[in-house]
Amino acid sequence: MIRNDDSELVKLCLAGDKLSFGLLVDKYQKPIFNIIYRMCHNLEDARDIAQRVFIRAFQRLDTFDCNKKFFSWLCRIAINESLNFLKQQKKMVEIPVSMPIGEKGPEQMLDGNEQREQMRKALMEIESKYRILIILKHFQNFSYDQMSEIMHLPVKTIKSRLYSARQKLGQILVRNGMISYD
Amino acid sequence: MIKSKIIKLINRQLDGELSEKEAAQLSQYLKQDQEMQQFFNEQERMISYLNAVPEVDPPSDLKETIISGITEPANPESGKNKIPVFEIQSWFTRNRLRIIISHAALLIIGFSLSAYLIHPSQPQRVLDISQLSGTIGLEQENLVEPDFGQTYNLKIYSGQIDLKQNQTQVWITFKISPEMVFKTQLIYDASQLHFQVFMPSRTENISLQTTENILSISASGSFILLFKRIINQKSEVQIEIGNVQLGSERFELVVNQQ
Repeated sequence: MIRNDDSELVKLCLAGDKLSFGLLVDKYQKPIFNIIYRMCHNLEDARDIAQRVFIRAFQRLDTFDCNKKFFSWLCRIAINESLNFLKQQKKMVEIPVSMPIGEKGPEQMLDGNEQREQMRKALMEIESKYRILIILKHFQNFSYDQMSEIMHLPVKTIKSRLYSARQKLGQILVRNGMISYD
Repeated sequence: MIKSKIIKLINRQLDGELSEKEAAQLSQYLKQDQEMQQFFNEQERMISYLNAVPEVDPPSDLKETIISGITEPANPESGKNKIPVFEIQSWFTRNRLRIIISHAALLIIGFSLSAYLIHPSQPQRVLDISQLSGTIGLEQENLVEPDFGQTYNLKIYSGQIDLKQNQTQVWITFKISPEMVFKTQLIYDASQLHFQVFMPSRTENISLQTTENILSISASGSFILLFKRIINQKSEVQIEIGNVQLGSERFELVVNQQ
């Protein structure tokens, strides 16, 4: 039997079947890790936060409304944990935009592309409330309805905030010379 | 039309929400307004850059640490909840030095193992795949005296792999150098096959065939030599199923120094 229905897995988990939670981790660890990594841009921090997110989710499974999407609920926890982390670290404006010497991010390892490094820096320059919308829309390919569900904001607000986010990011990329009009 | 309206139209166009009529209308506006045309180009290019950013793989032991973190009861006195309440094991979050050391140890072990074919019956941490069989090989083409900017082809061929799992993932990893690692993910889930490509801007062909529990793979990829750093380094192609490395083959790029 293939147990791939999230609500069903949650119910089994609540009934004490911990293997079901393992299946949920299998299914969502990658997108959740990516959201967190894009927010904090540090692999070790992303790992710690992702671990915390899934454990928090496990602890609060009884508060999950099975009529809603589990992934949206999990994303909300991931976003909250990421924002809390950034606040605690007081790194909102101080996050280093370059990694320590010798430490390579996965994008650099992929092909050492300067473009991606520039994009990474630019993303870290915009406020987290804007950054998260870029991540959800352009890295996770969420629809506006899904984003609205995750962020607990009306679609109209999501759209207008995302438009501002893109505008801010564009300005940074132009300023940094990543986009030119030659 | 006021600029805020044009900006809204631009954003809707970028999201693919404009009707043909609206798109034509926007195109007209942009022809008349160089500043807005520039803004549109800027946004379009930015989005294409964003879309090209690849996904990052979570640490291979993330699940393990999560599951180990939910094994101990946090509040044994509390019996009010329907479900048990578990304590977060924050050892990993507290002790970064140990994490670094353990990662380094894992990496060393991983590299040591990667030189050899790992016997499929080794313990598997995530997926329960049994009776793996088959051979993995690498056909090298044009690997003698490669040059920068040239495209080189790699071809992987394999025998057959028995799948005893409804869903599994097959990774083909091209480790050209520490700076160039491409991963191609193939997902097999009983009823259908699909694959996700992690080699942006590069070409590859992957073919999979299944008959009952047998998955046959052959794949080829090409890469363009971009970095001087990779010359004379040993490279590697690996095939992994879940966390199990099924095979790897090493090859060496030799370049005449200019």
